[in-house]
This record gives sequence, C-alpha cells and structure tokens, in this order.
Amino acid sequence: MKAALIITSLMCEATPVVRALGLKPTRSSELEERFQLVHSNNLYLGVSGVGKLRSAVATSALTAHLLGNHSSLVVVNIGIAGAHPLLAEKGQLVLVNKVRDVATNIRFYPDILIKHQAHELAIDTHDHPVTTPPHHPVLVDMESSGFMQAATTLVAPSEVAVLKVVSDYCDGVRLAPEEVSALIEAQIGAITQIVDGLRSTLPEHQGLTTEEQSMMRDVSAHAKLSVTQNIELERRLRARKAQGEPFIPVLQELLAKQISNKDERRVAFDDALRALSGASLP
Amino acid sequence: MITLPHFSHIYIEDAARSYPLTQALLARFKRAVPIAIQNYKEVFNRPRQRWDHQSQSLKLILAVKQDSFLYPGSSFVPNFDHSRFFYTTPVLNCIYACEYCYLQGLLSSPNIVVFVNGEDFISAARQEFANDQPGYLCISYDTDLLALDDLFGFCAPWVNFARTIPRLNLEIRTKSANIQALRNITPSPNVILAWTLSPDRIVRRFEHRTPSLRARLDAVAEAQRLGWTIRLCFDPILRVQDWERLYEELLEQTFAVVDPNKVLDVSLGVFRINSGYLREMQNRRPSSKLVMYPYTVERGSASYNSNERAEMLGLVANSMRRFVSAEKVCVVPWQS
Repeated sequence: MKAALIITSLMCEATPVVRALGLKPTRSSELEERFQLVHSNNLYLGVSGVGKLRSAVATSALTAHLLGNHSSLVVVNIGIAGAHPLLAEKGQLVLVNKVRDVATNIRFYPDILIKHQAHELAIDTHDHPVTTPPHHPVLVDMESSGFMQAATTLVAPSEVAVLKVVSDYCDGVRLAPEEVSALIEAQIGAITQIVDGLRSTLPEHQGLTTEEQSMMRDVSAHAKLSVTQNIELERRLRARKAQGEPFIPVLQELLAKQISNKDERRVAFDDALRALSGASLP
Repeated sequence: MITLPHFSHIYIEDAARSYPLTQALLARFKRAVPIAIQNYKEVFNRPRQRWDHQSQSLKLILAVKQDSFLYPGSSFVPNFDHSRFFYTTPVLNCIYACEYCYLQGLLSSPNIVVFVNGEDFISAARQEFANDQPGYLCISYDTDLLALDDLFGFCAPWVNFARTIPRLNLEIRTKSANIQALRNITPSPNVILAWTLSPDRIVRRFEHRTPSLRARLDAVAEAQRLGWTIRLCFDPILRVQDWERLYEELLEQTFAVVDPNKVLDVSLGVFRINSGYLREMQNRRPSSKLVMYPYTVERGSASYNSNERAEMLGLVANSMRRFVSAEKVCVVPWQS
C-alpha cells in the first residue's frame, strides 16, 4: 500500500496539515509517542524538533518503522524557511530541488517528477538560526539536510520531497506559533496536492501478503532451504506477483515433494525456480 | 496531477556552463529548471535511485568529461576482426527503453548524461588513431546518438573526423528512424551505420519507445540510397514464442526493402549479458518476464543454454544465407 510520511520540526507547522488531512494520534508504541505520530488513510505525520540532527533522527526512525508495514513510502519534509527578500515573498510555497548542508558542503537532490504549482529553489541548512540574508539565491533553514540524509538512506531520491513556506527575510524576527501555522495553512491546498501527487506516481512494490509469507516459510522448512535459497525464492515470488502470475501452485508442488537430502533439495528448488520464471517469453 | 515531461530539469556541472552545447540546450529547453551541480556523479550516481520511478520524467545532466575518453571494446560485442577496438561514451543512457538493455544493470539511473565537451572526445580519438594501424571505434553503445542527434548534434563532427582517418572504421549503432539527421551529412565510406533490427512483435513488446520495424527499414533503405555504409544487427535474438517464424519473417521483410548487395555485413547474436548486470536488472524490473527468464549463467555471462543458442544462431544464420553470403555474416560470441 502506498503511504506518505510527513516530518515537521514544530507542532505549529504540523497543526494545519493534521487538520486538513484529518490525522489522528496513533500512540501504540514509544516511538510513535516520542515523535507525536498521527495518521489517517496511509498518511502519517511526525514532529521531529528543531535542527538537522533531530530531523534526521525522527525521519530515520519513523521511515524505518513505516517501511515495515508499507511496501511503498514517500517521505516529505514540510516547514518554514528564511529567504533573501529579492528571492521570494513571505508566504510563498517552495518545492526544494537542491539541499546543501552548510557545515559539510554535502549536497542532496530530491527528484522532482510531478507537475506542481510551487516555486522551485535550493536551500542551505545551517546549524544555527540565520539572522542575515544569504548572499546567494537560496532559502535557509535548520532541518532539510538532516532530513535528506536520513530519508535517502532508506528510500529513493524520487521518494522524498522538501516543501518550505517562506516565513522571514533572515532579519532575526521570531514568529509566534500561530503565525507559523497561518503561513502553512495558507498553502495547505498546494501542499496536500503535492503529497497526493508524489504518492500517485509511486510505482507499487509487490510485497507478499501475510498468508503468502507464511506459506513460503512452510515451504522453506519442508525443503530445508538455505538462507541464499530463501532469498532467491522470495525474489522470484515477488517477481511472479509483479507479473500478475500465480505462484501458489508452484509452492504447493514443492510442499508435496519428498525431500530427504541435499541433492533432492537442489533438484526440487531448481524445478520451482524454473516454474516461477516461466517456460518461455510471450 | 501528472508527471513532468522529460527534461523538465537540467542539472549543469559548473564546468559545463560555458560550453556552446550547454547554452544551446538551455535555449532549447527554456522552461526547464536549471540546477547547478559540481560533478555529474553527485546526481547520476546517487544510491538507491529507482529506475522505474525516474523513467516517468527523465532529467538531463550536462557534464564535462575529464579523462577516459576511449575504452577498450567489450568482448560481449563483435570486433569485426579489428584488434584495435575501442568505444566511447559522449552520452550515457538512451531515450529508448528496451527491456533487455544492459544499461539498466550498468548505470544507476535512467537520466541522460551529455558530455558537452564533444571535441575533447574527438581529440582523444585523433591521438589514439594517429598512427597508420587500422582501428575500430564505436561511438553509440551506451546511448543512441542518431536518435538524439536533433538535440546534441554529435553525429556530424564524428563523421567529419572519421573522414580524415580512412584506416579507422567508425560505427554508429542505432534503432532510430531519424533519417533527416543524415541528409545534412556527407557520408564517409569508413563510417558504418549499424541498425539493430528485431521482429515487429518484439519491437512492440520489449523495445519500448523505439521506432517500428517498418520505420527502421525505411530509414536503412534511405541511408543506403544516400550512400552510407550499412551494417545490419540481428542482435539480440530473443527466444520468444514462435521465434523461428518471427525471425524468418524479419529477414524476408528486411531484404524486401534493403539491398543485400550494398550491406557491408550482418551481425547475429543471441541475448547475452553480464550476469551481474542481469541480477541488477532483475532487482529493478521484476515485472519483466524477459529479465526474469531462467537464463543459463556460465563464467559471469547469462544467456540461453548451449542447445538453445546453437539452435537460434543456426536457424537465423541458415536463413540469412538466402540473402547474404556467409562471409558477410558475423556471429557474436555469447561469452567474454
């Protein structure tokens, strides 16, 4: 099932998204409690706290957690960012196409595959709040590089996005939480449209159902398959499923075979792989 | 919400920005978003890229190749009796999406990298082939230069270069029907246009986004008429259902349009691939029956088993004799 995980650094950034998407608390584990995870209809949102390290920790923990239950996942960072006054207007929504960590000069490039109405810009991630406007045409924030580094360790660069609403001109003025929420709220339509778009273009991974996994385990135990053979069998079963072809009869046939030594195991396993691969090309 | 068109974003190495080809491409794709990069590998070689996802909207990456302009020819492809066999890669990747293409196993992403310093490639080739020894250079292996010629215009400079070195044979391999690109270039006898031909059912089923067999054959015939040296590549031969009849018909269709006497040579090869690349392709494209087929793997090469290979090559080579003399037929070895 295709899912989306949204990470914000502040609760006031999350509030308009939670409201718009109708997300509800899901505090069934300490992890979910820690990052205030809310969800609805395969959409999840967690709050990381401020800074690239906190963003990285929340992103990696929640992404790994959700990948256990969802075969396809997009991971989106939503928040506010500063900008040079000549670059963007306050309140403008930006889809980030390049993220640079200022401390390390490491760069990340989220793939942008979908049509959208937002502006596209690069962003620099700093370790401290920025109180003077940037010299070159970029946004500035304190989370994006941590988010990108964590997210792209677990999912593809085409499965991540960074969405920022311009909140200030790096002039040291602090916004009240309700002002931050209002900025996000004003762009909520465009934000949800992009999240939906990201999910819709995501090719579905073909995972095995619980029943199919259970049957595979039975086959593995019956045929005493090695670790390598198990991996290969699962790969072939997933491929068969992606091709829309049945594979249960092949597993049933393997279960019905008498296997008492390594040679019999090898022959039975090879026969099963051949049956799973198809005898000829269409 | 739908995906962006191809080349909606152009990644540009800082070093590539001033090249005329970069400027021309930016002018051509006015609506594309330019993104500055330091080295093409930081985008092209990112880990965990999804080929199937990125294929929905290909991006263009403009780079400057710094070294390694020529590579020794692979033993998976025929050298046509040339001991000095090289290939070069002015472009990485292809606009076509053939299911069997080794690029899906070799490269990290389907995005297209263009090295805008084309003249440096030609300088390297000029240096390599400066002596009097004959040589063989393929310039369209990891891409299809003729298909992309309207964008990059690489064919004419290479043909003009080859004209100055008559002992060099230069091959441009293609599935394109872009005959218009050839009309503006004077043929050189040592430049070989090598067309890959497949039965139309295979074209439609496995060679996605490529021109039909009919369009390719018309292009071959027109290239012959324009005076180009032609090679026909029936490679890879695929063991699909009814393959015997399909390839028989393919030869009939081909030589009904193409003059066999004016063909330089013909290459025949069954599908074969480095087994490591195949493994990668299987991970990336599990839904492809062609990729997941139970090939035989021996010493790092995957292909059909020896009986199947012999049967396939034997039948097609035998049928070929009705049209082309045996000495013009080159059978490609399946293993390195």
